[in-house]
Amino acid sequence: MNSTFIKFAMKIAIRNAKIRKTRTILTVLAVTYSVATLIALRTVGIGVHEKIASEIKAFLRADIIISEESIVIPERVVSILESELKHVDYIVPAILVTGKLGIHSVSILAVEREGLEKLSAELLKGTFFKSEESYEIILEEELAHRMGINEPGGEVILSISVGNLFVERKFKIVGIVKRTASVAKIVGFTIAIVPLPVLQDMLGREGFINHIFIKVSRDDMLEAVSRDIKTLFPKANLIKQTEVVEAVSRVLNIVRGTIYAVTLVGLLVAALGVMNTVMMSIRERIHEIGVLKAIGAGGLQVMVIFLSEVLIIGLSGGALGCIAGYWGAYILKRIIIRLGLPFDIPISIVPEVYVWGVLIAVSVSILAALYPISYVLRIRPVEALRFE
Amino acid sequence: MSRYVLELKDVHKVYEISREVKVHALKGINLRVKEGEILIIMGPSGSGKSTLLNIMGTLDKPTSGRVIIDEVDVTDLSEKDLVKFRLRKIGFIFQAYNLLSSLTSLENVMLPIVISGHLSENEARNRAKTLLDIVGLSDKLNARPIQLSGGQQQRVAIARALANDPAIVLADEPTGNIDVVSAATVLKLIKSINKFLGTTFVIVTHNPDVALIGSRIVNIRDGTLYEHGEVPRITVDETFDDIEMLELQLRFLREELKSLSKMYKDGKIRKEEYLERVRSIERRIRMIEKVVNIETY
Repeated sequence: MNSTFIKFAMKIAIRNAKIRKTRTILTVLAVTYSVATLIALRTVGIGVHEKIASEIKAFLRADIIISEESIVIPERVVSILESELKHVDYIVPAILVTGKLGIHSVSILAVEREGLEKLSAELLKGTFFKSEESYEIILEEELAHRMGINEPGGEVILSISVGNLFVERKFKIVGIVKRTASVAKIVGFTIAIVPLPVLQDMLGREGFINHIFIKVSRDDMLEAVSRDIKTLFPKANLIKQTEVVEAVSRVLNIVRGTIYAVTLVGLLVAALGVMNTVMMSIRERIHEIGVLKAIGAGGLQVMVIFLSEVLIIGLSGGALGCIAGYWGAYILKRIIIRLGLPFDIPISIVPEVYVWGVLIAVSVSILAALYPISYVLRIRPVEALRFE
Repeated sequence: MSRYVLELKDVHKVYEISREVKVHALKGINLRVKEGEILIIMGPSGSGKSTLLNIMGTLDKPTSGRVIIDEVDVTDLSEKDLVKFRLRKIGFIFQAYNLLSSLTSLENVMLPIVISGHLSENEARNRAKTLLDIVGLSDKLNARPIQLSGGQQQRVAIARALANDPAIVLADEPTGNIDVVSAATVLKLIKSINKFLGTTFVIVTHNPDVALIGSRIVNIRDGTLYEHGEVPRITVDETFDDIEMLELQLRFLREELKSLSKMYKDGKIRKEEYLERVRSIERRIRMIEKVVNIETY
């Protein structure tokens, strides 16, 4: 097939698309819709993924966490790690347990005063602990709000049950800190912070902790540091931040799968639209097909004429879909915020998403058109010419 | 000695409508069409003339018998080969013109050339322009069919039929859809193309006026042919053969020679075919040159 013929086929296709304007526009819109959905969901999806990764970083504040369910890690492990590990910024020993403040379930984080600063808690009101021994508590903004506390100064009862141990103590609220991550809000996770020695005393676990937060100085040293820890303490239960991000990503992927199923329905509708348009176009132009075949056009050449029309629909639907998808992402972001999810999703142009959008539009259109277009091959000119 | 461009040998066509009902549309047709003649096939509707034309044009296959066009037996060719064959050897003129509504006159005439892929776009355009000059529509190159009268559309269709310089042009009621005056123009045109380009025509009609331009008439009744004998040459208004028209045709034939030699050089046609077509064109050129010389003398 020569290039001049392909040019001619394009010309015929464009003019026919113009003649049947309304139908062409409606079909293009169906393709546009499906591509736009695809691009909008994907763009927001990528944004959500980025956002969640950064939230997890903000939330965990450490690259590696040694974590045990019960408070069994001797504090001297920290000093061993401090002296043995290289490429480490800081190591913060802590206890993380669940407890109750009045009727509110909270996570109780017990750290030393300097640990608090390392984990970069940002004080909104009041102060950090005055001493490591006093029964003082710092509430997270969200928790304080929920408990109806606006200013530090009041007292709360903290109760903790670990195993068959149940203890209750009165604490003085000294400060309110800013939330570090909005993910915490979604999962309903709230934190109250107390001095480490106080909690150890309260639970009768002096000299023991259940968490060690480790900040690595260079990202590329993460693996090396984890290996070193494993050599020192083969039984240590390590959580790497990257693994948490991966785990969350896996959950997000399931969500994404569902979203793609929705997109697939859109594509299916577009495919049916294209199929219908091509079928009608061929039905209406059977006579013309007869003429073309009579004057010596082969079946493939006639197919190329109709395929050009499909290509025009696919390409313009794809291009419009890219534009609509870009704005659709902003609309989707608004909807997510309206739904009460406090995500400021970053929307960025990811070129490959758009390339995929156009490719999918064109290939879905062509695939959907192949069946009706193959009918062209079977049309006999003598019958087609009789067809009015 | 004249050559036969088309031969039908004992052609039968039976349409099987159901197991019991069969229609015997053609009953043993034997027909030879000489190179350079205008054969008129006359018959009322339902006489089988359209079936006959479809078989001549390789659009339909006979139930039995042979169809030989330009010395090639096409009866058993596959549809794929037939398409190629039609493209090179047969031109069609339909009653309803059948131009592509989305293309201009020029593009409609270019279409068969473009499909064949033998010439570049520019060459195809020049050739189509010359053909439209010949049919007197050089001022309507960019008009769409809808902007043309019936007669004009039919003239575009004639130019399209000639686009690949076919061995034979088959016309089905070429004046059936147009007014009397335009019909006369179209008939004159066919006659003069036949006379000066040497193109062979087979015209199917039930209109006796059309028969006037024929060099031979056969009648078809109920699927059987009856020879009508040589037709008195009532012929065409001689003013149509004016010098300008003849010079146009000379131009066309000379361009044809050029594009033939290009096609031969590009390996698109075989040597025998090339030589044969060159000889035929040169014969036509000599014929026109003789007339032009007499006229200008």
